[in-house]
Amino acid sequence: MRNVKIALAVLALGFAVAGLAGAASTATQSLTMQVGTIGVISTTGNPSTLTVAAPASGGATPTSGTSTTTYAQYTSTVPSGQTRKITVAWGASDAAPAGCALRLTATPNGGTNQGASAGTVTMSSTAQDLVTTIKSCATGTGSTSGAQLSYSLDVTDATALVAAATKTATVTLTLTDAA
Amino acid sequence: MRSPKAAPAALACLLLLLAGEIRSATTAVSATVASFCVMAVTSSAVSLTVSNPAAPGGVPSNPVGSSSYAQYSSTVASGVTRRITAAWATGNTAPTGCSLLLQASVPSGYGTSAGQITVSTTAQNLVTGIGGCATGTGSTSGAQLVYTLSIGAMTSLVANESKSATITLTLTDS
Repeated sequence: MRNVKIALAVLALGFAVAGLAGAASTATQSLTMQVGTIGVISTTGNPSTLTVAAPASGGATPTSGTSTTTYAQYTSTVPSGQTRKITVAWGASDAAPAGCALRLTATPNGGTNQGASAGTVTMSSTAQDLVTTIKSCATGTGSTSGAQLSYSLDVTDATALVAAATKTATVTLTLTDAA
Repeated sequence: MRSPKAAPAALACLLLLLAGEIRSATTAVSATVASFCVMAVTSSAVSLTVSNPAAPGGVPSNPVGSSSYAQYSSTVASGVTRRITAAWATGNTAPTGCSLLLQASVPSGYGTSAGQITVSTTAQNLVTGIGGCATGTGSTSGAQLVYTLSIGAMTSLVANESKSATITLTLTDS
């Protein structure tokens, strides 16, 4: 009889242990999260035709043709301590009309990490800084988001102007790591 | 000629036989369903990478990983339910500017999703109301685990930053 009682006690203990063991179960997953290197840029379109026009008064230098309707939009992620910049150049055979120079100024909209204007550049086939100190940012994609591009076709030598002369150029903006 | 002493002996045997036929025995059969809960996940590794946006100037979309499933079997006592909680290990963090979100998509009969949680070191409910069930063990059986790396601050992102974390799912009594 004593043996029976011991057996029952052991059996009861076994069920109790089984119940406790079933109270919780865990599973684990390993997760890797990474931020990729991102550097993409586009423009909202082409500027309107830049036309040198008659001055307000006779004897004055003809007025510059300007366009401020386009924007450079960009998304960037940079490693710690690194910045990017936007450079600009036109094709090797591109040129402004005789007696003129094409100038460009980019004005970032002031958003965090969207960079600072490098001032006005006179276009050439050599890449020049247009916007500097760009860090991780996204300018937005609205019609007026990003860095405003202000083109100006300025008269540098009125005596060299040729009426009705037209030139078409391809301007390339490049978002690249700062040196 | 039968011996006169043989009659009482035969009678005794007959009585014993009759007594044996009416003898009965009982045994108690006990059937018990143990209370248990076991859980596993179909894939131990999930990778989430922030990559190029759809258009320059746009914020990259939040990377999503939804290829893993929590599979579980559970028996519960009457009136009792279980839940699945999720947490990551102490020291785990998302990349700078990001947070990790997790939501379970639960088929009918296997509990109820507690909605999307922001993963932290504190265990939070992921699935509740789990009764007796077995989700199955197929590659897409069980509660689908949808991980989202949410970009909270684009300007805080650090290119090439990588973080590893260990997520623990726990199936436990509510």
